[in-house]
Amino acid sequence: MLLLHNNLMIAIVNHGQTKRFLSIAKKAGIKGGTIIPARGTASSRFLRALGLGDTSKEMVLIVLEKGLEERIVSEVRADGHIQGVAALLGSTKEDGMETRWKMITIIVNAGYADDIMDAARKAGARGGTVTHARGTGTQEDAKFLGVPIVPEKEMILILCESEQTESLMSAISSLKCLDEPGIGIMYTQDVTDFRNLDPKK
Amino acid sequence: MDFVSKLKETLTSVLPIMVIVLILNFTVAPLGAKLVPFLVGGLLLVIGLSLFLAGTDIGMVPVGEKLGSVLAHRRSVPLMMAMGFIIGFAVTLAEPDVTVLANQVHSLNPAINQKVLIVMIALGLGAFVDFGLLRTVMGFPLKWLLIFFYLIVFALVMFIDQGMASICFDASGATTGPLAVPFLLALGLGVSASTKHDKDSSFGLTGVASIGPILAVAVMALLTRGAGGVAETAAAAAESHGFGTVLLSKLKDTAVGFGPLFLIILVLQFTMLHFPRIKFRKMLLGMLYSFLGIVIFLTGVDFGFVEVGRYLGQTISQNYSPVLVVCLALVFGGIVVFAEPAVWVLTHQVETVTAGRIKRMMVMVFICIGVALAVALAMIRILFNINYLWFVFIGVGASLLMTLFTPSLFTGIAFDSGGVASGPMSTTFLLSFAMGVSGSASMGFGLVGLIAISPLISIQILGLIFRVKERKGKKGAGDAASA
Repeated sequence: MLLLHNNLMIAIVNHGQTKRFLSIAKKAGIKGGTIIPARGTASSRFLRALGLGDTSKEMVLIVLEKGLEERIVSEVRADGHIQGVAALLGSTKEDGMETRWKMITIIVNAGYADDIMDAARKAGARGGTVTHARGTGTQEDAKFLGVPIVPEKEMILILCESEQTESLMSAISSLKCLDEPGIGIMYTQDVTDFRNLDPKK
Repeated sequence: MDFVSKLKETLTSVLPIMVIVLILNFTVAPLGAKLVPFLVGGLLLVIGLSLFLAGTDIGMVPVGEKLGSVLAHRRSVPLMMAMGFIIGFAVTLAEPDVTVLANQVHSLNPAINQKVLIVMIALGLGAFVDFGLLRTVMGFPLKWLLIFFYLIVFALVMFIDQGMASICFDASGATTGPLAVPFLLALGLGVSASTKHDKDSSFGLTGVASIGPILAVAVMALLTRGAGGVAETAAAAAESHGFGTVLLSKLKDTAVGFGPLFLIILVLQFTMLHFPRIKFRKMLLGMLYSFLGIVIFLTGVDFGFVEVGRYLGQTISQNYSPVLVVCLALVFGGIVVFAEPAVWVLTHQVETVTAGRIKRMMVMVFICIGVALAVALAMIRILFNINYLWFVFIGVGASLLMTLFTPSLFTGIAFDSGGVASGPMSTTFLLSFAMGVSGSASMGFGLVGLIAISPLISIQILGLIFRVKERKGKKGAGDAASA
């Protein structure tokens, strides 16, 4: 049976820290989580110019009851060994109230993530996380020697303040290289809570 | 990805060799004035390797993956074959190990022109990349392809002399070096990922590709047979050059090799790849890092490592019992694999593709055991002067036989690791150690080939263990269900 809750917590932590993170979160009361390997885009301008500095990250998806996120975040912070952030998506606080944070998700054909992040940064984004994905493909006739071909995709998550959303999205959608039909989709979600897991920050 | 984590990775892999050489320095074989160049060489090795790995991650690997998926999407078999061939050819020209090997061959048998040899090896590799790609797309069983071509290899090798035969297998080991492997693996994964085949077909491209050079060199040997023969030259005394000279010559060699590859990738960018602006810039930077990494790596190797390897081989085999030589060979063999960049790439991809079902360390350990035994065997062969072909026939024969029983995923991984295990660390440090032990250059050949054969057996044994375990697991579950 599927576990159903209204809230989704997305935590993005350094590679190899998910185990520790999940064991703390489990003690706080969750049943489990889903781990997705991801790539953090460099935050240092110098390293970015050199093309180096992308870091291996892991993304953890946890569905949970409302209120549990407080305990998880505080206990992870108390532990002090995990570097990363956590965002809570789900039912908005109160009707009509704008949330302070939003998450922009972009799903495009593989290979465009770096350019999208570059545009987003110029428009004020502080960082982004990239994962690999596979499209289901609408063209069911696309076969090569009898084997179906599936389009490879990249999924980019950008957390930003609500006021930034418009300018970020227009900066991304005006990218020249994305100017072809069927290249991908973009959407936003309300982030009800956004926390740094590192107690030093 | 990030340079610092690569630095940590390579440091942990190169450090053990340095520590052992240092221990030897204070016990059985004092290095004297060679110590400082060795330490400097080691440092350059670590920096070069890290830079190279960071570069392939953002340079060659994306190109290979993108090319693989673009080719699969174009749905044109002739185009795919043409590209596989051209890229395979160009990558081989750029591969530093091949140049080193060709020069060594030329010094043994002047009838063989090294430029012709390199081109032959590159043609052989290009052709077999095609066979490998075609196999991936059509889902043809890997084992039959391997058995078929290795039988041809055996037939050809019977007609050429031992020295050249060992070079055949060395050529195959050298070709699938640090530059070709990330590219071949990425291309294979790209094609199979976007054709949604089962995971078993992702691996094996490198394994098939590495047969090409064996055949190419065997044909060369047949054609030039009798013209000169293999001269039994003594191992050339290690020439000691200044640091600047070594660096410049490496810079030139690598640039000449990289040129064609770079041009082809540029052409591809504007015809097929169409990387967007930032990604393209990043890819170019990656290529630059790979290039600089190779130059620094090779400089470090030539500056300190080769000489020390040869010196250690010589001193220890002259002054101590063969038992010590064989024991050292075991240790060196096991450790050198850890320092081999391509092995890291391969084991990482194995873990990713099998979603962690096959643990990286397990593959690593099995490759290590295999290579350690291979290097020890090679020393025994040198010390007791046993015909090389026996090792090859028994080794390859056994591994071909095993393909009939091992799960096909493991067959692919095994034959891929074969080419991968014999990278720059073994063609330099171990080969020179062997040459030092034998006191003659020609006996030293064949070592790289043996290293390349050993994982074929060890990884397939791992596969057999897996298969038995899975059966037991299933049987246990079945019993529980019926009870």
